[in-house]
Amino acid sequence: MTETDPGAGSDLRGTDARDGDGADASAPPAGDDDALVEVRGLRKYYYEDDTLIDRLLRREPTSIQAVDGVDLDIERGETLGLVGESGCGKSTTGETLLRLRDATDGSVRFDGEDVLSMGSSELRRFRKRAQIVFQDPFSSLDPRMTVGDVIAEGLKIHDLPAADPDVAVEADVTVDGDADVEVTVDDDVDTAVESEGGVARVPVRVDATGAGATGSADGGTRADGGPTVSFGRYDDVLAAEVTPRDGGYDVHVSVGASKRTLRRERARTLLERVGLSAGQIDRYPHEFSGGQRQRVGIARALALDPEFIVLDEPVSALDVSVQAQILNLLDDLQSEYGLTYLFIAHDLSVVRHICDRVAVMYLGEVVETGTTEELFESPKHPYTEALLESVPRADTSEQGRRVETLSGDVPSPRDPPSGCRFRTRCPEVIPPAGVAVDQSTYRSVMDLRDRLRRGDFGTGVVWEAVGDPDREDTEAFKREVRAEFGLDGLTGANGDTVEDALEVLANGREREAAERLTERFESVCETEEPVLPDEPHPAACHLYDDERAAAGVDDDADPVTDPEFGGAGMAAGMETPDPEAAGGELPDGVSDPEHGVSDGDSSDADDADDHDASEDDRDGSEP
Amino acid sequence: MSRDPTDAEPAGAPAGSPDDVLRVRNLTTRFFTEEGQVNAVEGVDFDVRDGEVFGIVGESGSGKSVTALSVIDLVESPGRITDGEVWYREPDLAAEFEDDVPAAVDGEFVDVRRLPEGVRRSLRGPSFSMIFQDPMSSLNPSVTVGEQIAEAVEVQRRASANPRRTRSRTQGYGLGRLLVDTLVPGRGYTSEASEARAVELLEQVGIPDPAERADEYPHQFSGGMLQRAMVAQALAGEPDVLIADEPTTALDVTIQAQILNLLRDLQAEQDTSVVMITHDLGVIARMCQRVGVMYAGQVVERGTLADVFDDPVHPYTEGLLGSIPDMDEPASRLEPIEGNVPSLLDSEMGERCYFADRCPKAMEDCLRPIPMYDAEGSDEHETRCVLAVEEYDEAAALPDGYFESEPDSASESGSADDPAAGEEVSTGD
Ligand code: SF4
Ligand code: SF4
Repeated sequence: MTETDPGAGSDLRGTDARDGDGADASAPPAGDDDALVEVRGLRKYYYEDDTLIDRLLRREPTSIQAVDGVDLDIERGETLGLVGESGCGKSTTGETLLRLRDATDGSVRFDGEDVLSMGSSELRRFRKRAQIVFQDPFSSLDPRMTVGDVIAEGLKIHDLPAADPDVAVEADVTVDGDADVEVTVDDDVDTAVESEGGVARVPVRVDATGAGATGSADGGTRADGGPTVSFGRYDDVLAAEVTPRDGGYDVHVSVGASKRTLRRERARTLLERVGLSAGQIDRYPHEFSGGQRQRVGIARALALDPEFIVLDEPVSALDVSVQAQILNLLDDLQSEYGLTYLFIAHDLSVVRHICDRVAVMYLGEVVETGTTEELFESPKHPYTEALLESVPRADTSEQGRRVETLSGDVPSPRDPPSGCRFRTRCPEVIPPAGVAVDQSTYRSVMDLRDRLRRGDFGTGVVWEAVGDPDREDTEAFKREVRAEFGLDGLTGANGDTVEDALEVLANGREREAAERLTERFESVCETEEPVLPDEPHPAACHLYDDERAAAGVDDDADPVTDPEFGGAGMAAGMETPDPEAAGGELPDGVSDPEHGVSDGDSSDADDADDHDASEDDRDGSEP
Repeated sequence: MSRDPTDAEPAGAPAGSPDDVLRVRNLTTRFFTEEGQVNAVEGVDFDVRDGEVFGIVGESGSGKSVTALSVIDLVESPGRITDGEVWYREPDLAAEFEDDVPAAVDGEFVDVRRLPEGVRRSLRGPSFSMIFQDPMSSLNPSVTVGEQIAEAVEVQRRASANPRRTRSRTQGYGLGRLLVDTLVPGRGYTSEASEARAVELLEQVGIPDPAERADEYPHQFSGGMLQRAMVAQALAGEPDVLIADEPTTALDVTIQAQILNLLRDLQAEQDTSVVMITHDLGVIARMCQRVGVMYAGQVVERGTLADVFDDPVHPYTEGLLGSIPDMDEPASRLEPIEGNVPSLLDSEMGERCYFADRCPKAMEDCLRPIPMYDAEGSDEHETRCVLAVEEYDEAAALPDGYFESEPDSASESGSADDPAAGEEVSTGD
């Protein structure tokens, strides 16, 4: 969607405050003061074991770090993709930055305003400008409301339509017949007439040919004995008052319908805009197919003329043929209204298609961002590489392709790995300097060590496999573990360390065995957390430390606390939250036992639960 | 190769490749719902060969899942298989029923649908096994994972204890019990040997600490692990034919890659034939040698992977391929298929190509039931579209809006919400 030009096209909003130069997809991601949304250090923790009883018993709540220090810049008019697997926190990020959930920490700036500290009236305004479309079009629509009501609900809550002082009103007058007609228009006519480029043009047709005759051809307003006045498609919502005067008429145009009718008209327009028919306005969501319901969901999000829409897996539940229709629609709407999208998805081919830039999340953190091209053509982070490698391509060349898979499952966000969160699965985890070991064997050593550390290594099972219930044949035990973990290739000091650790393990001392392995094999990936550097196409991975050090970049700079980070936006006096300072104490109101279900497993349940939970407080049902 | 649907009493097994292990013909399944008769599967034909992965691809409402259930006879009320044959190559079974049910036997092939119900059931597990999208539909939440897999192993052991006498599998055990135990494992009749085998299987599918995990309950497993457990359970029976219905759809892509690798390894090791049912053309491309495309209950195109992906004839197949964003060579705009999934209500289906209302090339000739035609490409390539035998002729094109008098969105939603028509059909858990 690089052709998107936010400055062009008609503008549903009536005002066009943008300057239209922010949509350049290849603009550097960070530090651009033109970003519409700037997220810094966003955290969202859930707490388990935090019921009243737990507190009375002084049990320590377990925190689940669903989102842990996310930085994002979303430029005006662009589509930023947020990808990752279930439980990685992408949906929670989307909902938290819209304040549909309370953030634990961090800051979100929308058009320069601090979203997280907004009071209720500011929040109300924000909710008009920033909307969300959920994955499941059905569950996000109230089954007892007609689609017309669903779409108009937000307008009703905000007591819209209301006249916009920034929109000028002009009449496009056509006079049939020979009469001198003066047309005046009420200022609030923009509530009934769509505006374009800050001007609401009212089509006024005055038919003076039959003045004096009775009857009106097209239902237009007709003053007794005077000319017929009609408004084209606005006939139902505008009214004219005709005053005869010497040699002609004065025509005064005003809104001739209730707000309710105007909202309904707007809903009809929106239905047509999203590819449904206005005649379907009184149907219920269940009468529509999945793709049609998602169109309704989009119309609902558009109703308030937002500038920014979070699209949370908007096409994941749809069949591919319908999915393509919706993607094209989203594309068209973006160019037409200059929308900015945060597109949350797990489907990488969809992301490649629709996004200008992409941020990849793993276990609550952004691990890489870049333009779509950079990220897909030259991924840097081993996790991004693994994701891209895994996607099955719909092409004959895919046949029989064997994917190098990641080992294991995503760890639990209750107890994320130290250092780099991907290190428990990373095929490129970095051995310590001076330890020469083949990469895949090193991965195996780390796998064994991690299993020992987690305490779920079953020595009993090994003895059983060896067939030695008396646990005497330690040589057989060691052989078995070596074979199981593929540790046979180790020699020299590496071999000795493993030998030593296995000996200890055979004696049942798992923890000590893990320590022996750690002493020699401890990786920088577990001791130091890689940061997402402030550079174009950053990846949070130690593999790039050398490269960056060589380029003279200060390796230890914390991107959040570094005053340089954020460029002009930061320099202009944005507050910079300090995660170190905030890490110890957590703001009130973050306890959220209901959401304590996220366990980082690979089912869809986490994200699905998130969606349900957010039903209650999403915009539209706001009191 | 087109079939005459009135051909009710075919003489013996249909022709096919000598490697076929399964030949499905004219399989027809209907759901009798309050809104009327839903034609979920409509005269489906396909063959599955020894040790191959045959793909069936389709969107919701295409009938692909009901086809799977119909092949292994798990369709539940209000659904019923109303017609069709499922010829399965199993010489022992053929020898056994040659005399009793001669119509069901042709050489080494047996038409499973004509065998007594108890025998059909006893084939489930040892002969046919199924993996579902939702592991919880085939795993009992209150029985440990290990026990459930051991259960499946036990069924296989009993079956193979006397391989020549299929009927003996059901003797002294009771048909009812066998059914219950096959579908609701965990009745506690597993032996130590089968439990040990269960642990082996868990290990084989890549579950760490299999012995310990075997003692855990399904809810203690993550989604990926559970899917593996279900693969282990399905493989426990050492089936000849494994039917995998969207086996990786609920999984993340890195886990999906693990499961697909696993399925391929196990299939190669055990020489199992796999029917891979999915909406994901990428999964089809990675896994399958031959593929059938389903639409509105019918197979509309069939052939080798190259036939279907590189030289599709049916506009639906083309549309499906044009709808997926290409990750390696992104196009600026997708070319979706207009319209929605069709209604499968018998009363609304009409005598025509079922795709005609969405087809950009619909012509007058399409307003009749379309048979399978041979198409260019390999010998296998066939399609249910007139374009295989005639050029598109603009002069004969149906005018725009030709189908608009037909019930529109109301009927579309009918098919979207009707569980019988969609893919949400209960899978017999
Ligand atoms: S920091 Fe280490 S473990 Fe993390 S992705 Fe990079 S190489 Fe892998
Ligand atoms: S038979 Fe006709 S309507 Fe049907 S797919 Fe072929 S061209 Fe289109």
